[in-house]
Amino acid sequence: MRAALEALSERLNRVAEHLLAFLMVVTVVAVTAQVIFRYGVQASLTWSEEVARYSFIWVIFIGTSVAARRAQHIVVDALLKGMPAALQRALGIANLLLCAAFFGLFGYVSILLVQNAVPQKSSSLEISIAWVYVSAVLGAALTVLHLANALLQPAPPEQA
Amino acid sequence: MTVLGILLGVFLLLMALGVPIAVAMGVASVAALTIATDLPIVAVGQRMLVILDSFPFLALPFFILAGLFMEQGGITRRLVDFAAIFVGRITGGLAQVLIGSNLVISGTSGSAVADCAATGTVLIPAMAKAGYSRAFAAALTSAAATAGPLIPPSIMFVLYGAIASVSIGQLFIAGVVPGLIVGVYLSVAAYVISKQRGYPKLSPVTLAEAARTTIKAMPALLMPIVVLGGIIGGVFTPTEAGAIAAVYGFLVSMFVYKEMKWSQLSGMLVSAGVMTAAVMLIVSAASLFSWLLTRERAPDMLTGALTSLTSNPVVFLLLVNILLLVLGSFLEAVSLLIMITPIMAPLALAYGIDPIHFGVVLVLNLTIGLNTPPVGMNMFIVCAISKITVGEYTREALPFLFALVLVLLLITYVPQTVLWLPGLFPS
Repeated sequence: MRAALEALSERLNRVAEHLLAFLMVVTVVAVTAQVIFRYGVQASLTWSEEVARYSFIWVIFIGTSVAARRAQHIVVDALLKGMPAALQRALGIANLLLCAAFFGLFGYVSILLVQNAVPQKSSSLEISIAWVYVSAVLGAALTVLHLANALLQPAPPEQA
Repeated sequence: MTVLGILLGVFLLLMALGVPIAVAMGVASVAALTIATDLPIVAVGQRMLVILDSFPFLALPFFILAGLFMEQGGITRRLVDFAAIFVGRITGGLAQVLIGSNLVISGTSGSAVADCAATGTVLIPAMAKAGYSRAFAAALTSAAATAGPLIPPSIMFVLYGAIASVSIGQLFIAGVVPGLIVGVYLSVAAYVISKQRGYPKLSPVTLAEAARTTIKAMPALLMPIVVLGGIIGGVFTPTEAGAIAAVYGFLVSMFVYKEMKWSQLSGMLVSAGVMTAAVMLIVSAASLFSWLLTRERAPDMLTGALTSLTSNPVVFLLLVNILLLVLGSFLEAVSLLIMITPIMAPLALAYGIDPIHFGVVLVLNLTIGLNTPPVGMNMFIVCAISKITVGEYTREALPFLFALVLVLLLITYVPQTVLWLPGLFPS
């Protein structure tokens, strides 16, 4: 069970990392193309800004899940470091549970937003805004998975 | 009132217990919203998502990426060599090189913590070998990195500008003079100490050597010129400048310096994406948090309370200086900037303070906090690199902290030091 969950978390995270690298390239290329077209070809691109903005939102939520897997979210640990080890461990577990609960709620709320957004079309690409918001659902789901995995691992859990 | 109590109480408690800052804000907001208001829970998602759909914020991943590329390309070493040509012959030459190269490197990475790690790993060992005290080298590295967020491109100006709706381009230009002043003040402090202790000069370089070093450093030196020049000339927006800088950094490291391999590219893209996400998640949660604060009229109450206490903008700025120096020594600068900008920016406006001036004061104020015990981030980095204790660091850091606070007071109370340069290039 433990091993299976770790394998799942690890494998999905690898896919997420590939997606994240791809999305970063998309944002850079879209905005660079915008500048090149404006000056090089003297034709303004209409879609580039929207592509960049939407893939940026995808970067944020996929990146959030990878950050959770790597325990790289920003924390203040000055107080924690001074506490006894047993207390630190207990707080670490409570911390993971709280984070999982928060991302669970955020994922649920995002599903509601995705449903509302289905009929809304973006202004230049005319795609459904649901395609943008679904990144929040996906990112939250992956984050909860990684946090649950961290909770079940035998090593003293790191903070998310 | 209950909303305010829950928001602040839950947030501070969770943050102190090591919950990620973004989650602490999110949970506090959810608790306040469900317990003390009849707002629908879906508002949580709406507030967190809507702020992220922003072109100005997009400059953040671009400058992070540009910094990673340049660093991988071995830019630090080349800039260090370049700086040595100009300041190496001064007493305490390496100390001056450290300050000089930090000023230039900060033009590529945008983050004080990154600059500090970059120059620290190269120069602290070199200085120790040349007879400098390790603690002195460490303290100066940390202090010199303070110029980083002032000199464009700057991640902190991107965040402040995007949150407070202030021109990021104008902020970039406004940071240049204060950044140089920081350099000069530190340079003087380092010179005085070096003279007292008899720290060595560097051996002279021949003209041919100097020319070779300059040519090698040229691609790196061009980056800040392209970024700032393009923004001042109205060629592109700061976000577009970021994308150009990222592409430029990639091309230089890959094909000019040839120190980056294709196999490293994907890992660097992921690192930049993760750093972006960690910061933007806080932006997102802070947007929800400050929306609830604003609904409770907390900023108005604070403005009312403060303006009734003093109507003098100078006193207000002094209070801000003190508050941020204290908070900045406990909290990480970027997170703190994201948290306080929505509250502080309207306050400054109420006192008639120019938002560009206020942004620069805020950023220097916060980055000084990176150097101060007990928990300054740069302090930890340099202590780790140079293997010294916080106590040893603190003794050597005091003169530099004093110099930095002097600059802070100067730019706070002489707004022209900040506003003169952007005034020459109206947007």
